[in-house]
Amino acid sequence: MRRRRYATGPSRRTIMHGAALGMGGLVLPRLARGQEASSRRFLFVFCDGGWDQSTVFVPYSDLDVGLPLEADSTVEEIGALRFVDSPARPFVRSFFESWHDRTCILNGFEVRSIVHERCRQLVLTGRADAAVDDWPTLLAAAATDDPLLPALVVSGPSFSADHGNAVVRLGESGQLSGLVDGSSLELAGVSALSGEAGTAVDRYLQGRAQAFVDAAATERDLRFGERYHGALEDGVALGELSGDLDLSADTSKRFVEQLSPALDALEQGLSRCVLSRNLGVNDMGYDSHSDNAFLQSIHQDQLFSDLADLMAELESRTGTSGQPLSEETVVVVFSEMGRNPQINGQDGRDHWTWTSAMIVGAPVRGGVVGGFDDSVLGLPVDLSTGLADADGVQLRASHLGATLLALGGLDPSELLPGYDPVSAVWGG
Amino acid sequence: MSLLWLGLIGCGPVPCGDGLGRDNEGRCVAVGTSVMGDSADTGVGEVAEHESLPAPRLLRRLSLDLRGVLPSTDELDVVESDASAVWTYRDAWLDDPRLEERLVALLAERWHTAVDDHLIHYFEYPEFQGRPEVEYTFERALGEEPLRLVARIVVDDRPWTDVVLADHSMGHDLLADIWPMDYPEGAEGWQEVRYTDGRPAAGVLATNGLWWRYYTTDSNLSRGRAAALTRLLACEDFLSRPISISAADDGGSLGSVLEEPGCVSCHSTLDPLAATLFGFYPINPYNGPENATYHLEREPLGAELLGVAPAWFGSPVNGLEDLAWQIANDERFVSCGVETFTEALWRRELAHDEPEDRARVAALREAFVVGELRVRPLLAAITDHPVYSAGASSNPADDTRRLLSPHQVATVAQDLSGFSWEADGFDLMRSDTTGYRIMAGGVDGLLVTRAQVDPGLTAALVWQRVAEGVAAGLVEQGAVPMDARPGDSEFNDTLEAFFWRVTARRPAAEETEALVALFDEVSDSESAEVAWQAVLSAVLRDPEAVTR
Repeated sequence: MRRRRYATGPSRRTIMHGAALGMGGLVLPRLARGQEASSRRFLFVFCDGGWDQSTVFVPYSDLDVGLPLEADSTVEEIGALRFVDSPARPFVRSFFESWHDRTCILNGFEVRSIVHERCRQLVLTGRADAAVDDWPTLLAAAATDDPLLPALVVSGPSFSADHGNAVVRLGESGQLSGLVDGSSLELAGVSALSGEAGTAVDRYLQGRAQAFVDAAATERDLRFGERYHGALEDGVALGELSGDLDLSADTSKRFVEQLSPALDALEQGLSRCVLSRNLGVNDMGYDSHSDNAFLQSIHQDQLFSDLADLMAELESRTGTSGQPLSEETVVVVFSEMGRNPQINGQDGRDHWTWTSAMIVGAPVRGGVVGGFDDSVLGLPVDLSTGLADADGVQLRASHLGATLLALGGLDPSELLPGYDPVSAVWGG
Repeated sequence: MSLLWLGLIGCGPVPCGDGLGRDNEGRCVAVGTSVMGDSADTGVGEVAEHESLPAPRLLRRLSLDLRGVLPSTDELDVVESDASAVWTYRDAWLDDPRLEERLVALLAERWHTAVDDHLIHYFEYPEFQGRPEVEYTFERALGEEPLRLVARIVVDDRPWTDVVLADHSMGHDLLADIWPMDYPEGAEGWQEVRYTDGRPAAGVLATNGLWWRYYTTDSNLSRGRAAALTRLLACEDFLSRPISISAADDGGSLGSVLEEPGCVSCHSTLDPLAATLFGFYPINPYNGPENATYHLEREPLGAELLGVAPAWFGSPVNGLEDLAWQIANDERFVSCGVETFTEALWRRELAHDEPEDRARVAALREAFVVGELRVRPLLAAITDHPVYSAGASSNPADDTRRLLSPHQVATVAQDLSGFSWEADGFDLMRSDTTGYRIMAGGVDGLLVTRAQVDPGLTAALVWQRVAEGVAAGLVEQGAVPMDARPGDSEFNDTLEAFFWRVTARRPAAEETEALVALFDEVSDSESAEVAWQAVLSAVLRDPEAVTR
């Protein structure tokens, strides 16, 4: 765990508490779900481009949609998971064979846009018209164990507002590592301050930041000062850890190896949330306006292979509770939109507002929640059973968010009024 | 700096517009707005509507926003003794050549074209194969084209309507051989150019750069491009409106399944506008040569493929040039220009449902119109406004403690010591894949679309390394008296002048003492050289240094 070098000045937790007292809007409401939920960690895998819900998650043969399954594929059931299997993507089946009892497929929620950049925001925040914190940021900001890197963005989109200071970027080329150890300055032919000089400057600046906080005459200055103080303090703490934490990233490596610094951070309790972007095979992305079946299939095969590696890695590591990290971590796999059921003129599929997501983790009940109708529109769902129900709720991206917030011990009724969690994901 | 010289070249008084009047320092203030003195102490949460920054801090904010550099100590000295000189400087800085680069940076935050990734890559051109060092320049030469055209129009004092009516663009020498344009022989960098493929004169609407960023596909049929145009030029953001696909028909085409009235209303605007843009419609969006050229013969395809007549918000349009005229004569275009620069300089989004903000925009718009739609008078009016100069505000939406943008951090560093952070041809403070733009709180235009407002760990680390780089450069250049020691007047004068320059505030005695103590501590353990680097970098990372 992190060690704080200086007794002077408040810790991030003190600061956040202070800010919360002073600025009511920053208090994150908690559910009385006990320590387990509030200490749960999250790893978000964002599949960029818009995946085709029918490639794995939605057997179109179950619907009267007039569309065949892709060639050579079959509908299979493993445990309570019903999915589209294909010999072309064997890793899907093998992943489900291993993890079906804690994998929930959430089918038929609507993102409410068909434009990539807006869908990214919608699927991560539920809003497209305002600056708001995304799910990883909200969960990270509410962490009870004062993590040093609360929401660690390895790569991919990130949206923040009130809690932007909870977001830490690794950099797509692992730039954070060079910033922490000062090697990044070598590119400019300059040596960073180090040793006692660096320590002295750190101490001086923390004093300056504290003085700034003490003298703040406005709410804005108070908030700025507290957050700057926290950032300085975290920089010192991260520098102290740099020998034990390899933050370098190599995007040429396999997915799970790219995630290695983030997994280290989860394991050591340094992060609550990690977000990583998956662009599929050869970084082609999921935006398959042409050759949809082939592209989606190879991307999903690689994704599930990577997820299997990821889960194995999570199992092999011990979390802060002493349990395997896989017991502490919820993996959320999602894309910004789905794909239109109709095949276009180039054997591709265009954008679709309705899509699917996958949630994997110890608290998750294996199975399928929600569904699609014959027009490939999401069906209303009974949130507690996950079954289609004409009197149920039409799922939106905000329901996904509410579910994740609840899994993390936050009260979605205050953060996302009008959107209840899909409690069927964890068994009602 | 000679004030006489400033007086000779300074802009004349700028009309304030309806709802605004000038205060005794010559600033435009909202009628009925209380602009309190610098020393007013109202306590947390009890500030006046807008409490202005002290004059030197305001000068600093203006200098950073308009020039991207810190004011000189001479400039600070002048306004310290005469607060009204702030506005003389401001007017002069509106003529500063560095304004153009600042506008490019500000517009990039909104137009989202300065991205690290395009559909077409540099290595696909034989000219650039084996030259990875051109990658960054290639990407910015594409994405900055429309931004630089707008910025040049502003600094040339041409009317805002030229943004869509100009018969030329800005071209970079890197693209001179691969895009059809009359780039001047032997020139370098950004130059005014005309495309040679017969494309209509339509300002940014006729730039490759805009459409390479906002590409289209054969299913989208330029609708996304239309949505980009309405957002950027009419401030009408159709994409922020949630849609719902509620029922699919037999054909399953997007156009036929959008049944909600909200969707229909958007598409009744977007589709006719999209139909006007087919001169840029690619058969293959990944083909460089094809996307470099305007295709006059494809113009009629829009109406045919979309099944609607070309129009701009209901007004029939006959070709791209006509679209440009329609936009230029649209009230929304004028108001959007006001909103664009107001939000960029006030560092917050305007609240359209707030009567106060609506009135402010209306007043600024009036000033814009009175100024014949020239942007520099508008920038004057925006910076005259109490919201701009506020150091405290009763409105929590006002950002009174504004983080330096990555661009400002970079230009300040460059100006102070020549510090430049580059690798493999990439300007690291202006790029993301290997650089620090979004890590320092900036916008990449793809994955991060709003600038950070609060400091965080990664931004603080970027500031730290830049500060150390600048400090090392200053020490190496002999900008500090290496033989002087604390207590020597030269030492203290240098230290206090640097603090004054960087923060625009004279250090209090105890602040100087704390810096001296830092110097002594490092000097004892390391050397005077390292101690100066430590002290200078510490000042550059001060809470008052990283904000404006």
